[in-house]
Amino acid sequence: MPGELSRRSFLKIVAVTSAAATGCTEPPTRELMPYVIPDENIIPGVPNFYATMCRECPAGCGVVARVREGRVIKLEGNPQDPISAGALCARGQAALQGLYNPDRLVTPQQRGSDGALSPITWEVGLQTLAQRLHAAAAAGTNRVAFIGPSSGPTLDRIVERWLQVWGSNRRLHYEALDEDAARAAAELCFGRGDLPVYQLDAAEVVLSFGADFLETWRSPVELTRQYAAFRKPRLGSNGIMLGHAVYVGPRFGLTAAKCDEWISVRPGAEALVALGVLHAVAHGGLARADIDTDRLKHFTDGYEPAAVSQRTGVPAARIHSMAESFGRATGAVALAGTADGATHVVTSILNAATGNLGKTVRFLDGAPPAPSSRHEMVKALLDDMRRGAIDVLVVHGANPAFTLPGFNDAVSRVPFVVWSDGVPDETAALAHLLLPCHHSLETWSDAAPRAGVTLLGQPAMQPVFPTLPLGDILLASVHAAGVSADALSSENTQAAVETTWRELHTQKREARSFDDFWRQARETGGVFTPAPVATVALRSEALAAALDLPNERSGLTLAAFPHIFLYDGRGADKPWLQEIPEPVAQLVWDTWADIHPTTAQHLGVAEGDILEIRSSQARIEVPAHLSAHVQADTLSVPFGQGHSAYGRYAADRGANPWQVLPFGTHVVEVEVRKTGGQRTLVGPLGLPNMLGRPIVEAISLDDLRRGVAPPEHGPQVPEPYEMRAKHLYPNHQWGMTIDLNTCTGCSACVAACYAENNVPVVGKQEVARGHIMSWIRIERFVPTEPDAPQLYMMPMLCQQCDHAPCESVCPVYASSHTDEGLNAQVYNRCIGTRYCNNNCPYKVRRFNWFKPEWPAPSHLQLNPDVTARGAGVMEKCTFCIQRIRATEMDAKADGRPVRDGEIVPACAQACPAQAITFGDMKDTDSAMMQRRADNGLRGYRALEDLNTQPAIVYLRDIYRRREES
Amino acid sequence: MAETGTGAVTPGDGMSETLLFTGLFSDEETCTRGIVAVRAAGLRKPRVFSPFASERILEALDAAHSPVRRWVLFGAIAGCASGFALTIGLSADYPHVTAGMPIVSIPPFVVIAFELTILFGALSGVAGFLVHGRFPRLEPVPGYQLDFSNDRFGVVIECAASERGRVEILLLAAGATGVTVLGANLPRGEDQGEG
Amino acid sequence: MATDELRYGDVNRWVLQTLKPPGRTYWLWVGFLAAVVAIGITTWTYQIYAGLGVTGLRQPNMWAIYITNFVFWVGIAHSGTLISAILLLFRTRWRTPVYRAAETMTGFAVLTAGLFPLIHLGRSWFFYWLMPYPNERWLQPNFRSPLVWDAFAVSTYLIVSWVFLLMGLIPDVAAARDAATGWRQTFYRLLSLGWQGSDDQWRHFSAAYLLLAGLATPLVISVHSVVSWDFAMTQLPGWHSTIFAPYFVAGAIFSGCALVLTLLIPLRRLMGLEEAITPWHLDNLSKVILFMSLVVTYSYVTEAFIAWYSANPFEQMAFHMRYWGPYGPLFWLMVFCNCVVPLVLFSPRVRRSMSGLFILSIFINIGMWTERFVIIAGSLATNFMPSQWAFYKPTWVEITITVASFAWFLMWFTLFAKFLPIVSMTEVKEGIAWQKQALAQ
Repeated sequence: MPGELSRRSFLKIVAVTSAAATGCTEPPTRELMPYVIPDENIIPGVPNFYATMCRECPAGCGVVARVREGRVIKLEGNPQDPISAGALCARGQAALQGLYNPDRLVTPQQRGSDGALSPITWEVGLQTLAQRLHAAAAAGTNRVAFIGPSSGPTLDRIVERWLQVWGSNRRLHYEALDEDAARAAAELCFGRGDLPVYQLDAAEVVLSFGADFLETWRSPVELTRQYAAFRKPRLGSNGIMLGHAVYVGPRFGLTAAKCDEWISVRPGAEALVALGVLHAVAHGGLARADIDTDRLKHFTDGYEPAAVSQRTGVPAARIHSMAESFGRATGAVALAGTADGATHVVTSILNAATGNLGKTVRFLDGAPPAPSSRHEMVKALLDDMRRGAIDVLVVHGANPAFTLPGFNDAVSRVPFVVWSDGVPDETAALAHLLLPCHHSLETWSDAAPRAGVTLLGQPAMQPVFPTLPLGDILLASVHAAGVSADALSSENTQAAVETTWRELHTQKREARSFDDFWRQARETGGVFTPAPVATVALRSEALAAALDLPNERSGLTLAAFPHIFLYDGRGADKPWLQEIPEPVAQLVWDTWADIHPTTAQHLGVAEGDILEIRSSQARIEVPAHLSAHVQADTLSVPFGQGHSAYGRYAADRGANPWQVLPFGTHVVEVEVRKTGGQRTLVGPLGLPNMLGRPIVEAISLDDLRRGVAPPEHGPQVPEPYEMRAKHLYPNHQWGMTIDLNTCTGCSACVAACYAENNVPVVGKQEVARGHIMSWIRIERFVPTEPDAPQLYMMPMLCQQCDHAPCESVCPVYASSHTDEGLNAQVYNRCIGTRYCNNNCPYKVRRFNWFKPEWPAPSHLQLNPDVTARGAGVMEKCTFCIQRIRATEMDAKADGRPVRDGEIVPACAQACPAQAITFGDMKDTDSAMMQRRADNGLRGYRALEDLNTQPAIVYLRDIYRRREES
Repeated sequence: MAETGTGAVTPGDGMSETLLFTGLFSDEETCTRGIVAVRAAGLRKPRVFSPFASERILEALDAAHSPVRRWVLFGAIAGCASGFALTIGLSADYPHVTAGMPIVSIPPFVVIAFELTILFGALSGVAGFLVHGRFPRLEPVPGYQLDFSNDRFGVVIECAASERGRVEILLLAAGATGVTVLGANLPRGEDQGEG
Repeated sequence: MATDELRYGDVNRWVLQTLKPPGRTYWLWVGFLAAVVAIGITTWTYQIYAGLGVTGLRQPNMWAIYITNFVFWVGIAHSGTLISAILLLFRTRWRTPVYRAAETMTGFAVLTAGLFPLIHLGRSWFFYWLMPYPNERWLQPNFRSPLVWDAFAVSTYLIVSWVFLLMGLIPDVAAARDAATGWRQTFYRLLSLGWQGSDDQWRHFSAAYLLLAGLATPLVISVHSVVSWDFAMTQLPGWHSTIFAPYFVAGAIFSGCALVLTLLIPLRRLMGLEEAITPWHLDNLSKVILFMSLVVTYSYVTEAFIAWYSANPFEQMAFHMRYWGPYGPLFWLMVFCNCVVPLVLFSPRVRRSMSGLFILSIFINIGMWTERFVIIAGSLATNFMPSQWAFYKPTWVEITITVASFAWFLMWFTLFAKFLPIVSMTEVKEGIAWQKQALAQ
């Protein structure tokens, strides 16, 4: 199955070994256990695999680091981890660019009285820190504060005790995109401090109220996988059926696009619609018996669909039908993604009232304590800082100066700010002491993203720079201060992690010895034990409590949303994430404001006009992007850009919506005026319209049920027209099946391809000049006909045609056909006539217009198995031929045939939805061919009538006709 | 070389056996008449210089067809053959499948063969011209005068000194504007046109 | 044209006076052209150093101005061969004084055209991989690729047209030799291979020259057909068309004859060749241009018809965009220059007005260059994949190199015209003889 490591790789997953092995600066551990004991740890040319974890977002995916000659060159999902299950999103893939970022801080730095930074030694750095802490502690209690996301049991404990040493408890678990509202709701409705786990695959209906669960919400990889299962056509009560999803919110993002329907509402009105549905459920007798229907009715008083319809513009009938399908479904789930609490409360009640608790919405026993701080605590700390009650502030893994309004003036009252992280950001610019920190791939750590899942993060390689793990810095500061710290007995992070796991071992009452347990953990990347589902019921307080609905807004509203790649802004220093186009807007390297054409017309705004967006607290300037993908009178602006620091890739680019947002919300009324300036928004795609050409195809559920083949568009070839002698493929004929129904367009495949194949990044200007190099891209077409899915999307890569037009025109055989059905591209033979690209109907070939550059140390990430191409040659997708060859050679060495599923191209491996299957077309039993056979009606080839006979078969997207939904 | 009237030239001392008479004509018409007259008189076939290619002169000399034509023919045939040999041979020697076409696919090879046919034909034609025209030639053909590249036609007859009077009359009667006589120990040009 | 008192001697007088040592203005002109060429070469060096990204080339317009120039110059070359070879076979009399100039133009036009594929290559330094040659790994070119046909066709054309030109020169150079002194004489002596115009020499010369003409005729047709197949052999809408070969050949002759006018009209004035190259000659030439213009117009119509009749949406969209898309104005400019303007040639007055013809010829040059651009860049822009549509704009690099290519061509032509007889004396004399004969009968 895709996403699973090949046998050989599997055997090579070894736990981290001594300094010799990965050469950590930390002292060597005592005994080291490889997955299967190899005599040596590094064989040149042979990759090692280390199970560790991804820290790019709070979801906490287990990953496997592919290490060549002591350098991590690729991250894959960890097949054993229940959250990632072997897949990894684009942000996870790009973690490497944080590790190898050319702008990472190399040595500790101190800010002099003149405000200028000067490099210092670690000794001096730690000494200074220790003295300051000592002084602060002497000055009184709670004068030392630590801001950062929760970083796993061990590090959290270290921080906590470290603060205790300095007589403080000012630990702020800070995430810019926190789950505060959700936690409040969980507490109110179910008395739980933790968040539920969702099971979309157990549902028939999904109602998302502003929850971008395919982009950034909670655990995108896991939810995407579940959603793929949810959307899988299966035999239901009335013939073929598949999950029915509706998205309610102001923005038509990737998630809305992949749902059956997008119900566009003003930002903040999601709660109203939810209430309307709840009202219909209550009065439609759809609520469960054990729910006090009267109180439920009372709770929803005044929100009858008609009323809601008046206030939101959503037809009452629509609300009723939503309630019907939601209530009648055997499994349903309502998700809330807004920052306001009401939506979360109402959806929680909705889920409980329809009896989905424990089915699609599960609270697990033994859940870890709430990691994220409540907003009050944030405010409290900011007050302390303003009051000058904080002497030393340590910031790690967060960028409050960028994301937290009011932080900057508060921090100006703090005499000593310590910043400890990778690439110096806006917060670093305010800090007095900068301590370069290990990347998570360089250090020991652990995480408990949810009950039953405890991840062990182990260093996958020697640190790129002379940095230190945060734990060591804190411990060292204590020792340097000469404080007797029994609380901090363990001498370094590594030991601390081991201690934690000893406790975990005893806690779990494991039968086997700790050594086995510890080895197992290092082998598999953690301990994964299915946690029992807690029995929870809706608390009556929930229905008693008054809802604080977001006040109804009139006039223009700004609704900021987390960028699928840049997230809250932390992705901006990673060129891959900057250059991969946002799938729906298809824009790169910039901030834009989606504005509805009618609104634009009303404001006299044209595409690219720079708008000044002014809220009560600040103003930003953002170029307008006219699109019908946003509610009228709403500007939807992605987070992520607008950095003033944070490295060459992020700095001075776009605008930062956090500035205009009040704390704790993503929605704010704004005034908008044209500055008169113009900025072209850059994206790689040309026309948004498919011109009715047979490129991305879809079939309606209705037709699928009736077994009607979709109407063919475009001219057709009567039957596969064979002018030439058919190829003879002695061994294999590699092919691919891509399911457009499960593909969400999340672009994980694109990022994976960048990482695997040394694809260079060209920057905004060159993208605008048509020089983008990505071998695989997400095609996006806006349908013009009513009978179509909401958005056409498809991964487009080299189709490896049988009758490849690119081959016959190449004068020097640089492009020719292999006897395994691939279109080989011989870089060394290519002289750059570019004729092949002219004749390629799919335009998937890429030309090296310039010599690609890899600023040190980012060149360390290059995959040694793939040629780095020079200027003047053509390149394209190879189906990851290096992986094919490696596996074939292994098979040959073992004297056996290549097994099906043993070869997995990077794109297929990364895909969270497992939309891509690779295999041998000559082996009809292969999973890839089976997938074609099982979906006969949906199979088609792109531009099939050109008779290029591609090796890639796409399975048509499935959509519900409007009347069907 | 000065153009002379009748008998203006005194024979070279020692009375050499042969002289070179050059009848000068001002146009194609008279020149052709001169040639005909000379040949009718049973003298050796004259060598004729003209400022441009004149079919009538060649007719008057009833010159044979130039063998250059055969050079071109064989060159072209060789070119065609080598064109096919090259394409088929090298494709077979370096077999790569492209777009599912057969390794030896004749239609595209025809183009190459065609071009080589032309190329070889042309080059061997030039070669033939150089060989048969004896180019490049270092020593001048006897009897050449600079005007022959301008506006004069010359009919050059080689005959015994004793024939002098008759020849001069013959040429002048034919319309020669004058006759020059080259004396003895004249350099031997190659004998008259082969082929 | 000439009346009966026209004498052979006049011909030499006309032509040989053009070979007198040139003056200051001449050298200034040549120096200026050389300077522009130098700039062009520098720019190319920069392009090789920095990478092709400095041009406006992009996805999907990976071919644009360089290939346009290539096709344009190859096209220019054709009229030369047409006038010197094809019209020779037809024994057309008016060709005699103009063909040498036309043929010279051919020689240097092919030379210029040949540069562009190299400039266009991503790795120019490997251009020779296009030709089969023995190498240690026995790598060979792909003879199925139209680009290899191109390499063969164009190099054959270059060689044959130059051989043809130089051979035709021999008798005239001999005439120049007989009139010249000093180093010029030596130079002409070497070039004339010791030509003396004896009947034998004429016999072989005429045979060889006639046969070369016979070979050059199919060659010239084939070369531009092959060039057109670079496009027609692909499946790109707007390129993939069976009429391309004749269509391109016609266009080539059309543009070539126009450039002959552009060159001859100033030439006859500056070099005092008014008596040799008379309005009567140019009149005939412009009749050919008029005819070719009609053929080209017909081709445009046919293209449009095919697109509509094929009912192929890709084809139809490609042509819709060609007419109404961003490059639409260029297309209509082309129609104006190639189809409308030449119609004035129906009037004899225009056909004999030198200034009129000169201006007209400029229009046609522009029109034909635009045609190639619209076909090449325009069709690529509107390819099968709408998401990959984009419209190319050139940068200063391409513009500089294009301008320099014109300077390069003019530089060589200017040098040639001053040092070698630009009008064929022997053939003009032949013409006079024919005239005299005609009058006699």
